[in-house]
Amino acid sequence: MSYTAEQNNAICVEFFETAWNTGVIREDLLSEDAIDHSQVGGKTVSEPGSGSFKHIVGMFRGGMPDAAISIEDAIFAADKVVHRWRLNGTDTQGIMGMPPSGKHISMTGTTTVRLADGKIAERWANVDELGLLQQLGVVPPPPGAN
Amino acid sequence: MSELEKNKAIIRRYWFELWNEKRAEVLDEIAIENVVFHFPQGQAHKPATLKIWFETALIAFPDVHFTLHDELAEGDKVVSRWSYEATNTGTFLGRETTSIKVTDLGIDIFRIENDKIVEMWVAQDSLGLLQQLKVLQ
Repeated sequence: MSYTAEQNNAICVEFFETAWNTGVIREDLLSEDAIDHSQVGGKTVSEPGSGSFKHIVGMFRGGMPDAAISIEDAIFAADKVVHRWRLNGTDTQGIMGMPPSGKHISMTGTTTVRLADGKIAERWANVDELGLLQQLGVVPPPPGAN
Repeated sequence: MSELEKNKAIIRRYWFELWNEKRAEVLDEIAIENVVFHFPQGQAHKPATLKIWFETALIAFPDVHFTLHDELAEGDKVVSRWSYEATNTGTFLGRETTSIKVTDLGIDIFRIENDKIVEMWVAQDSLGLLQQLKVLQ
């Protein structure tokens, strides 16, 4: 059966809202060899399978157990879905191995997903890691940033 | 040509004719003067206009070359997933030239009205860029 772009978007909304808001990775919505190409947290190798999805969600939800995603825009055509999103949460447990800051974090990102047969097959993402580190007070804004 | 194909063609001119061929005059043909930018909070370089962005980027990275990996169009939006390679042979953020080769990956969303770019949402890895340039560890 083939899926429309609208159905593909609905699958992505379901998968990512569940993942970011509850920490559960819906393996039934992931291809067996699904691959997350994002390089967030300095990742250089992307292994196929649900592990890399669990890793990235865990990296942020582990630090911010109240994390919640808001999908601000969705653009989809054929087998691709793009989401522009914002993740809000409170850093009570420490993000990416840093000590907890107690700060409220609001971080933006854009994700492209390729679907195959109604399942997520590939994900590419840009996450505003510099903005995150600035909010945590770990790095100053670069000169001329604003 | 369908509206979606026309919009994709405008964005291809943005990457190939403007950035790769460095043809500044293309800017007026494909974008309004005051494109509305949405930068991530942590964007290293937040120029006021697309023209200033193009000019200051070329001072810092005159050989910048983009590769377009994916494009999709829906409604009045076009999304590009891109990468670039560049050499820092001019001043960037007020710093001395380093001659360091840098690379980045990003996903940009463009909104088009009357065949011109009017709004852009940028998502790139400024942390990675500043680390490559040794501004940050």
